[in-house]
Amino acid sequence: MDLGTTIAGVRFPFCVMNAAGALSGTPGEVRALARSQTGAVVLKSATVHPFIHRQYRSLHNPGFDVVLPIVRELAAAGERPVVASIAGDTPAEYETLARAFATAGASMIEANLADPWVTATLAPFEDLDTLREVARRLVAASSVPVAVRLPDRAPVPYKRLGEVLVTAGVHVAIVKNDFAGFEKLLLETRATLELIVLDGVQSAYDVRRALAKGAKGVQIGALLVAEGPSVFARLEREMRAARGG
Amino acid sequence: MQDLTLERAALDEILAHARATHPAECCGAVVSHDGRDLVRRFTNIQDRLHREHPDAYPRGAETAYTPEPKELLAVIQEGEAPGAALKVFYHSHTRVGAYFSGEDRARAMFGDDPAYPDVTYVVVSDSRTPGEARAFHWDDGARDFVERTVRVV
Repeated sequence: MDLGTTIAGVRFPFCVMNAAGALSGTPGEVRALARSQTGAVVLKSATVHPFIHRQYRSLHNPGFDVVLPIVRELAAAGERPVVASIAGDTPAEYETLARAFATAGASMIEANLADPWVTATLAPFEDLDTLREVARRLVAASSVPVAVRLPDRAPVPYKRLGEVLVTAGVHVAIVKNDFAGFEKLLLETRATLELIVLDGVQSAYDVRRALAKGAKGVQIGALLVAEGPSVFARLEREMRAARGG
Repeated sequence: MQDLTLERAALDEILAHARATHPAECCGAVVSHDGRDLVRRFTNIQDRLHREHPDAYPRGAETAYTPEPKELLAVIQEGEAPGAALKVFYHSHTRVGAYFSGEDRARAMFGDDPAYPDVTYVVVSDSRTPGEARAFHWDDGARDFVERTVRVV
């Protein structure tokens, strides 16, 4: 029974994976994830410089150059895809980071456009030209598919949002797993984007429901932090049991 | 701990870099190409970070360094080429001696692990002794950076 998924041509051995930042902020956490049944190792968002702004703890990280070696290590092991989450305050920073992580062996780049720091500085949804520029430069710089993590409520018409991303060559978005974040976006973009939903699952039943609605994959944050990396094996067991396998 | 062997020309270039940027700290790398030590200078953008975000980057370039990311990336990738290896990250201290500060250590770590366990960190300074150069390398047994003797050849 295949519980994997293919998103933008990247094969994930399991359709559930960690959310960026959930137990993925240090080499120890990342290696523990890599030994689990996760569908991918999604790294905590990295920035071009060590990020230590006190009011934006969600983005604290040691800088991309410090994170690159673990990407190479995991890519060389080849057991699970590595998704490199990146964040910046200019399109140029996203470009630099996408190039760096794609070259280091990441299977996919996840551009974090949802973090409060990003919305406060780059403000990619106040002006669709900014979003267009970021998306264009990401795709040009990256040799692997690019996904964007959208805010829970992107403050622009979803149809236009989808058009901008798809036209630029971004075909994957990570969205909140609720009606306004996920199903509405799927409907209004006419399924032109492949969607990975974020959180909102406790069991295999919730995963199957998200997939049935059209999600291509599921990222878990709170559940992973609460239960630890063994949660992936538990969800996989439940999914196999539910399918009678 | 094995000595760090560094070509005289490379060390001289590092010291020249430090003197050129004084009183700001310099930073850069040494990439080994088929046994030859090639110095790559980075632009220290610490002053810009400090100017733009003083809360997050309270130190300026006289007491801290941050390499320009594109230059840094280019050197990291250069070190991955066949026959090449990233050998040293270096920076200067302009007010104190060439010791491995807590800030230097933090910059070299990713969580509890060294970011580049195979790379030696060299600190140079003219403050205490002209041309002082000291090297520090991760030691798995000590779980810390320990000093290596710099052997100039």
